[in-house]
Amino acid sequence: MGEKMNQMIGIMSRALDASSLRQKSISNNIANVNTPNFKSTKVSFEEMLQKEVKSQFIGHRSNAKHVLIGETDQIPSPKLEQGNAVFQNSGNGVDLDYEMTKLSENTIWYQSLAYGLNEEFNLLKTAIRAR
Amino acid sequence: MNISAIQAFTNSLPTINKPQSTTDSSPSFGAMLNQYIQDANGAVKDFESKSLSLAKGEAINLHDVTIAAQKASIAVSLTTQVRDKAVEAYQEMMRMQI
Amino acid sequence: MSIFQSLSISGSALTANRLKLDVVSSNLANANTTRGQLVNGEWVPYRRKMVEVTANQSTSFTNLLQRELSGVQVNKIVEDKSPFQAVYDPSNPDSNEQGYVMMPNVDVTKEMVDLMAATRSYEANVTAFNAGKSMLVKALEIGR
Repeated sequence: MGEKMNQMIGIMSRALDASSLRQKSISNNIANVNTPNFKSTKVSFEEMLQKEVKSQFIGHRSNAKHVLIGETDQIPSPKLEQGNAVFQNSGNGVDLDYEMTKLSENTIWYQSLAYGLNEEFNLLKTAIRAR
Repeated sequence: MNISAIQAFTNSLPTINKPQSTTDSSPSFGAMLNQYIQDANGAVKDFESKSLSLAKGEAINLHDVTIAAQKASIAVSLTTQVRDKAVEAYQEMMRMQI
Repeated sequence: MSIFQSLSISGSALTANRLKLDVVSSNLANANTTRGQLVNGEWVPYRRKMVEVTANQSTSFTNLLQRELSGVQVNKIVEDKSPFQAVYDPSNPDSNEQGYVMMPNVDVTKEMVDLMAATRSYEANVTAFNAGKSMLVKALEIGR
């Protein structure tokens, strides 16, 4: 059970990393909204996570030597990718409204991850302290 | 008087075996406690190195530092509790009247 | 690349936008300045100024994933090379023999549009800055 909790903490830490990187990428895009020939960047993480960690179904093992189904130890790292769109005559590829909505979405995502992680730690602390 | 007959008789009496030395129940427990201490030590070292990176202004995320702090705190807290409970159990055992 | 990188990125954009705003103000203030500079003993009208920006990043495109996100940077302030407007006004002391006055190549409408774009961009970057700061504050609350 300890490993599952550890994996949970690992995944959420990695998600926080992704959110932090995304914040930098969005800030950079917004900063360069008028720079000619600038191509926007974005961070991909959620799709990789969905492929790697199948959370719903985990096979029940009657013997520790059997093969594990549905669990994995690999937590993907966030990737910075570059977009190709062009939105202005100057060759600039930043859609300001899209970036602004992504910004507020990402902020809330980060805060909820921090909250979830905090609760995870609180559970552990409560379990240790309880007599 | 010939005692050899008694001697032959005493030889056939069953001898009382010395009681087996109590097997140490602690190697497995001691190893486990050791493992806890190692983990806690590792967590604290990890936190200290991340904290140092933060102080130096290197490339580190702030949440990495706070998460490492929490992990270290929980690990040390758990180890301390395990030790405390073990000592308490030992004292409880020692108080038992035989 | 420290923990405050996202704040520096937004900060660089705020600086660049403020500079753009200053340039626009200068252009608007000098929209009618016929005596901008003394060139070869002759008065030349004010030339519209523009700001050239580039994305602040390391120029190695070999590894895209290691590209630093460093915000925006003003390269230099250039002058607009478009021709001056000739306005027919013989009563003006600066008019030439045909009665034309060379006015600065500043189009007020265009400047106002630039002003609004710079302001909007400034506000967007302030929002981005606040978002980054709130995330850092939230990270400190883990475990509090």
